[in-house]
Amino acid sequence: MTAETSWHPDLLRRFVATPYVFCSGTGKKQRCIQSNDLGVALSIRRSCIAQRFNGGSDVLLWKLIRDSAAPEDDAQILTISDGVLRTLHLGTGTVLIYDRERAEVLGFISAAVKTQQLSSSLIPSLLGL
Amino acid sequence: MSSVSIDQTVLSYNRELCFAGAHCKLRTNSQELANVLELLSIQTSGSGSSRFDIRIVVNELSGASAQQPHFRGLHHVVTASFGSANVFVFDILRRTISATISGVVARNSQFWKEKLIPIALGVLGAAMGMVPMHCACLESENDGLLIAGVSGAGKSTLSVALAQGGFNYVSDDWTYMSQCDGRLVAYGTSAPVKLLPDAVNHFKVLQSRSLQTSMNGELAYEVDIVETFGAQAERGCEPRWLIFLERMPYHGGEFTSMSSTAARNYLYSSVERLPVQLSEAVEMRKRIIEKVSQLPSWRFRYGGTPQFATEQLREFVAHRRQEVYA
Repeated sequence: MTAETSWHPDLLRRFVATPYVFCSGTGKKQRCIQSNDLGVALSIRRSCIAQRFNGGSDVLLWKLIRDSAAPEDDAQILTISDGVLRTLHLGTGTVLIYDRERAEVLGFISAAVKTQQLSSSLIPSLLGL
Repeated sequence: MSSVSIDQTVLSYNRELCFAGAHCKLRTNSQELANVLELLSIQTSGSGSSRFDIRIVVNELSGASAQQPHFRGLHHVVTASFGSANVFVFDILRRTISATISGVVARNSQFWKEKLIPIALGVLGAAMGMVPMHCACLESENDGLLIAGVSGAGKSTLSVALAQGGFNYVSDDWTYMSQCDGRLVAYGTSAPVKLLPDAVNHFKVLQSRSLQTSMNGELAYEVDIVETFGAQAERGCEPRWLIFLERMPYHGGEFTSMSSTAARNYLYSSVERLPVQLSEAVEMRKRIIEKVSQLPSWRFRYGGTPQFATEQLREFVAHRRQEVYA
């Protein structure tokens, strides 16, 4: 074992691979969509191209993880805003985070959430559209 | 859909708190929560640089108790939900916790003591120059003894036996290492000691206690060491020695000197991997791990009761002191 390796398990699922990547633009204006789910990545890409997220057009990084291990409990939506962070929670299994200062949307999406619901309802709510 | 805008809520109750040497600025709309956390706060001397902010909106209309936790994290943000009405958002880069919780959870002192405070220190620690380490810590005459070992090696059982044998108790499972005025300092929290079911064979007082399911699903006795065992607790200490505990199948005890490389590798193996977005925190953590790994380290293999191991460690500490003062 070296100083760079660890057997600590990834309990937070921070290091889930996101093989589906769409990038456009260059340098500081580069926009990237990353996901472990092709449907999610395509849905966000289509919405960005169609400029459905007008207020969120400044988002430079989308990293969304389809979380098959997430609990599927009640469908109540809760948003929490504090400073530059805004989070949206659908039950406990789906959590979306918008960092306005860093222009990033991060999140975990439970298996029960359809891509249509994600792009037409949850993300607009997260971005405050 | 319900929305909580923390920055637009009047948070009238402000407190300056301290947990494991980390200073915490609390802002909340609940006087009861402010009072609960103030009672758990342990002020320490020294000018530690670890600090974080916590802003909590309490919804008195919600009676939802804390359910099984669900954690997720990406980049610099970690979320912890204890049911859908009790949600915490940790912003590691900005050292901030934002939360909305029920009145029931706000008043539940045990929840803060056993769950949220250790979680907060674990999540934000690295960004504050504080490294949570999987080891116990005991103190004797201002000298700290860190006891590391894999889960099940008997750190907690030995900690209780050492506390009964004249050592002062700092922590049994997680110890928070930071630097204060250039010195390495080890802190504990007021979290209870977690003893596995077989500990009842060594401590009869546990016969009157019942086993509980702890946060990681293990069955254990979770007890206050001061109340249950009459131990003396210390808030923090300067560690002098690092002991790696290993059990052996036959009676006896042996100490073998360990290299700083072996100590460093063990310490890295017990800390969580951090994302590249937290590179500054990784660097800070590296400096503290380096300092801990430079402590004189020994592997202590023993077989027998924790009381026997306590005798061995007492002799060990006495010998080390003689060497220093010779």
